Amino acid sequence: MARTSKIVSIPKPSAKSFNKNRPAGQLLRAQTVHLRHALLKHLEEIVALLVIDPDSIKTEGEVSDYAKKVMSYLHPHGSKVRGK
Amino acid sequence: MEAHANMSVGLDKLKHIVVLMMENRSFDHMLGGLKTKDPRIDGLTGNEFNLDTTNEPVKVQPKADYQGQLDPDPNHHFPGVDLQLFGGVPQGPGREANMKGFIQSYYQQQKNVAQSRKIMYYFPPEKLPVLTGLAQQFAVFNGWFSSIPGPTICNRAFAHYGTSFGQVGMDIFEWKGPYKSIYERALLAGRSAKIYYYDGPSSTMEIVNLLKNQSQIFGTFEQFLDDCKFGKLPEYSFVEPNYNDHDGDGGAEIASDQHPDHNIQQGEIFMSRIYNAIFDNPDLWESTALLIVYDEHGGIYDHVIPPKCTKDFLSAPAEATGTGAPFDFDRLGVRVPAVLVSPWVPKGTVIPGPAVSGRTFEHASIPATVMKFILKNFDPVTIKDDTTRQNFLNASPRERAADTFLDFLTDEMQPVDDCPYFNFK
Repeated sequence: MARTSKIVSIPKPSAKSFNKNRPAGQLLRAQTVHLRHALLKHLEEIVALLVIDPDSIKTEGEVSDYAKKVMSYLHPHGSKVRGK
Repeated sequence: MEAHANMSVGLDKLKHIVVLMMENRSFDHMLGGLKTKDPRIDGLTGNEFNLDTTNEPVKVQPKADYQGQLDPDPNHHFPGVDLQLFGGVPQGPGREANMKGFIQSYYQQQKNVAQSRKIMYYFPPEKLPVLTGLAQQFAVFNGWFSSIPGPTICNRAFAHYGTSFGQVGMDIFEWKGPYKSIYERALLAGRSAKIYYYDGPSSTMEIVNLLKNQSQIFGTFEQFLDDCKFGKLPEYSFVEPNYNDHDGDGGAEIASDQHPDHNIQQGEIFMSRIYNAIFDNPDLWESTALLIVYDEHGGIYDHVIPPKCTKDFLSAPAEATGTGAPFDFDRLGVRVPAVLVSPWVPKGTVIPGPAVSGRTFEHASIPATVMKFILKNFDPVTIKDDTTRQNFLNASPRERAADTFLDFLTDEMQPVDDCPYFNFK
């Protein structure tokens, strides 16, 4: 329940307002270019991880470092280092 | 109630700043009609005009509609805005802005005289109950300007970084030191900050630098609503509307950014959802300042000449501006709607603009204000590492010169019963 009695009703847009087929404007087209650019950086980083030869990873520290980087893509929210 | 020395109770209690940045509408288009209700608001008398391309004077008219009028999207790129501001007077010494080129600019897109006149339309206040209601209940800025007479990406950059790093367009810009985003600076001070974008299909407009390097500072609008409800809102939040029409889990998601030619009512609903979410949590309501502001004017008429301002640290070359002249970032863009919502703001506050020797705000005022908020109880000396401390303290020339807005929070709180609540169901 609202904490005030001063309720202001707002009209909703008509169903006709929704139009997925509206041509994308310059802002949205620029956004796709920016998205692609941001993705490219991740691609470069992923490629850098893929070229690492697993046989070159020798120590537990190296394994954890590799796992942390891979997990940052596979499960971004779970890849943080657990604190004490 | 007592506040700390030299600090109002409202500022003392402030724990959260929320900024909602909408898209592409001028002050006069959205709020200009309020002048008839409150003459202190620097809106429209009804006599403001531009000449159309037949040399016919066309006055402003309260005929703006929610959707369908501004298609094609009015030009708001740097050369287009130059025409709008200077009425077609070419670059040269002594050139003065006159705000007489809006119809000329819009005409160029379709060569349609009738369509070009629509750039002078504005909303009668009753058609925008949320924006005009909040403006009259809390504080409205007569002098908040976009940071650059240009488009979205560079203007939004000023809200995030206090600079656009020399950009006046929509191109990808890479971060150039030494100015960190306000989110990164907040984190360096041990504070919390987040950009809440609407959802995946809408994404964010701050993609290249922050999303690829600092993804932990992002959240969705759904999370914003939960964070408000459960008292987990960060100290600084920047909220982005839905930028496109798309299918959602619950049905059609209509764009809420109010960018022409998106539906204005959906933007009003979006604003009200943010306001209601803060209002619904009594602790949050008493400790939050919400700023609703637009990134730029979208090519739509405003009568106030944007003032000169402090130069930024980089210039844009002539080939980037498209006007034949470089730009030193020494003039603000067209005026935009800006409303400050907090129970600690006196009802009906009108913040005078530069037209009456008042105050001038722009998007660099956002990081400047957030820094002031952080510094109200944080001593940078506690950052031991010199480089980190410098990263926290560095601010662009424009941000250093920008006015801040927390002094509008006072000792008196508006009664909850007198504040509105929006019903959009």
